[in-house]
Amino acid sequence: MRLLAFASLLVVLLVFAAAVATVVFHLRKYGVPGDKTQIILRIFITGSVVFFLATLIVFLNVPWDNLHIPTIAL
Amino acid sequence: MIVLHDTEKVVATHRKTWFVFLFTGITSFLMMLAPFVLYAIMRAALDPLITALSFHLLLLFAVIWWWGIWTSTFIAFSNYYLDVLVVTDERVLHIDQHGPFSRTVSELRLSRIQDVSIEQHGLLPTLIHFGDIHIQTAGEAPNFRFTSVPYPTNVKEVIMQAHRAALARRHTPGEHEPDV
Repeated sequence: MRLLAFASLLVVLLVFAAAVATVVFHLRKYGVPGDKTQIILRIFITGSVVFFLATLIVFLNVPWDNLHIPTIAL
Repeated sequence: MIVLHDTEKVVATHRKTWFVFLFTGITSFLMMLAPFVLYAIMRAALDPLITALSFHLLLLFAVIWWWGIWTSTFIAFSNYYLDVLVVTDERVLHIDQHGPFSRTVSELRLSRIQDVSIEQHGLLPTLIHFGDIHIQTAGEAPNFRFTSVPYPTNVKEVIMQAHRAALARRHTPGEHEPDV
């Protein structure tokens, strides 16, 4: 279960890495010199790093071996 | 990337009004709240013990969801922020970002401008002061249209002043327009 979850997480992280790279690439290459592009980039990258670390920390705290599938209480 | 000629100077840079991005921003904010709503529903419907054991799993999904909203919001913001109208002392540049890896860059020499008109229709554009700018050109060059510009009257004046200055330089003895 843990292995499957880790593989899934890797796929998710790869997709997000591609999306983050896309945004950074566009803002760095096509931003108008002298405007607020650098500030926007810093905010975006900081947020992405925070979310990345949060994902890893939460993932490591999930009890993969003791996971219960929720059922509707009758 | 905007590449200026050797002696070219940027006169003004204009982007679309913030109002254009407002709907996307509000939608993103509401979608960020979705995990809280779902968790409240699940707590009411499921056994609390089971919910507690799966809390970290739910939190993981929530964090991934929030990250997805964060990234997609910034992709949408990039599309908004990279739509630019740049007025230099030689030309008008219109950069239209359609989406990731999709953009149109149009360029118009100031001396080829024949007419600049603005359009403001509706209550919100009038109250928030935004509208569309149409630049009509000489010859067969396509006309420019830049939508949702804040204070279009001021932008029109900037373009017309740059146009007049370009024409004055063109008719000054010894001066000529740089070759493209």
